[in-house]
Amino acid sequence: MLAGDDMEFLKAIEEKRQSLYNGYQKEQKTAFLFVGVGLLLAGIGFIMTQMFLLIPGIILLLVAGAFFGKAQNHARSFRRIVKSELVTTLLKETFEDVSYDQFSFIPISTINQTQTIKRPDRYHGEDYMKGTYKGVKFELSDIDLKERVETRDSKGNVTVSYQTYFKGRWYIFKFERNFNEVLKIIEGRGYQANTRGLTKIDTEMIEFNKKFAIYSTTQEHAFYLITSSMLEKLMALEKLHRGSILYCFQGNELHIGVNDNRNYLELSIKTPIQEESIKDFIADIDLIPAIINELRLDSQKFKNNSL
Amino acid sequence: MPTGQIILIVVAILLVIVIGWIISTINSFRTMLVKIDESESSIDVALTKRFDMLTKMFQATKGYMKHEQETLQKVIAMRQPAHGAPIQEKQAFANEISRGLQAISVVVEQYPDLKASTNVNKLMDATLEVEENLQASRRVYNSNVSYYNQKVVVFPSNVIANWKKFTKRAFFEAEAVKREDVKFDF
Repeated sequence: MLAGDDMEFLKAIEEKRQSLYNGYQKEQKTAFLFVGVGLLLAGIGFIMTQMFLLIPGIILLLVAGAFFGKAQNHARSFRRIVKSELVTTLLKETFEDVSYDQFSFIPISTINQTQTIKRPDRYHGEDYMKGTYKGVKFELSDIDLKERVETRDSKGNVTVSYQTYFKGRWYIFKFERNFNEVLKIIEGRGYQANTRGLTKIDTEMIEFNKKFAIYSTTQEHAFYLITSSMLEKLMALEKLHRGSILYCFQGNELHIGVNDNRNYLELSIKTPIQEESIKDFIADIDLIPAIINELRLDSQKFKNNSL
Repeated sequence: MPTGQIILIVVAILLVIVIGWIISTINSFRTMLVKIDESESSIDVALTKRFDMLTKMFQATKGYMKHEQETLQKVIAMRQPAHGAPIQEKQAFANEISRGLQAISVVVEQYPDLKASTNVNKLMDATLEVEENLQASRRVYNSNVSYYNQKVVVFPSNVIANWKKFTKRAFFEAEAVKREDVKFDF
């Protein structure tokens, strides 16, 4: 439930959306009108081979394209408002120290360095967030990893395309304690995680073992980090997401990759901004402190120990 | 090639396969026992650390104790079971330490100045860390024992187990209070 100030803020954003949406609809209507007339003229001109009908028809279609472009400008402006105003405000309400950049992302070198996923041939990301919660630093962004795929037809012609194999979110949590060992927990297959030098571990939870492959430098380290209750929390986190999930404890970081083919923090210009419509945004943002709390990343275990 | 020779070759191949399997099964049992032994050593180390923590906690809080002091002194006077001692003995020792730590936790709860003491807080954190290590070692040990026990009872490896007298090993059970997760209510 949002507070009074928040409702006022939502109303203000909704007013901006309404104004942009009106403009968007107007441009769309005009564009469709031009498309209709243009297609009619061009169609008749084409059938009757009459250039004086075909050329104006094509011109009208080009004009329609320009109006569609203008409509898209409104949609883009709305997207900018959602990201720069709505998301930033929601983030600042949850975290004291947070920054957000819709165009930035976690560098691919950081993801590659975990060796939990194969190196992409093309990489894109957005919605980079960075902050601190209960002394635990976090970073996250949307990511889209593509691989180069070559297909050869019967004539021997090669077609190159780039196919997405990982699209979703990448989280990094940084705690104080630096572990010398590595623990990788990977759901599903096909990520080509580097498990060289690591031992495959089976936990006491059969359901967990069926879902995840666990690799660690030593058995002790794996069982030290993933306690019985943490097993349940990791399962619960997996159930929250469609697709697959991977976890990697390395050094003083926990990396979580969620491959759910989702583009986070997006809202259509057609959707009125209300408490209900931003529920997903809030749930997304609330997941960050939830992970820290549930996995107890702020506990003594993840702090520097003088033992 | 004469039939007799073919039969001889087939029998020889089968013999090599069977002998190879026997050797590899015996070796895998021995490897498993080494792993169990190693994980038991980790339990011993964790138990020693835990016992040390109990002693330190007792020293730091004994001034505040009344009737608990006598009971705790008995626990502290206990001797840690040797490495070769039965796992049940170690389990009983671990239970006694748990009881001791719980008694200390009750005392700490009763005295706010004790609860606020930096030294006691550091000891509590260290105790928790040791506890986490013990639980990890226990789970590693049980995981190794579980795998080994399965091999002891499942065919065909149970044939070798019976022949070479590889018997089932006991688990290191968690005390009822620890089954959920490590959490001392300090």
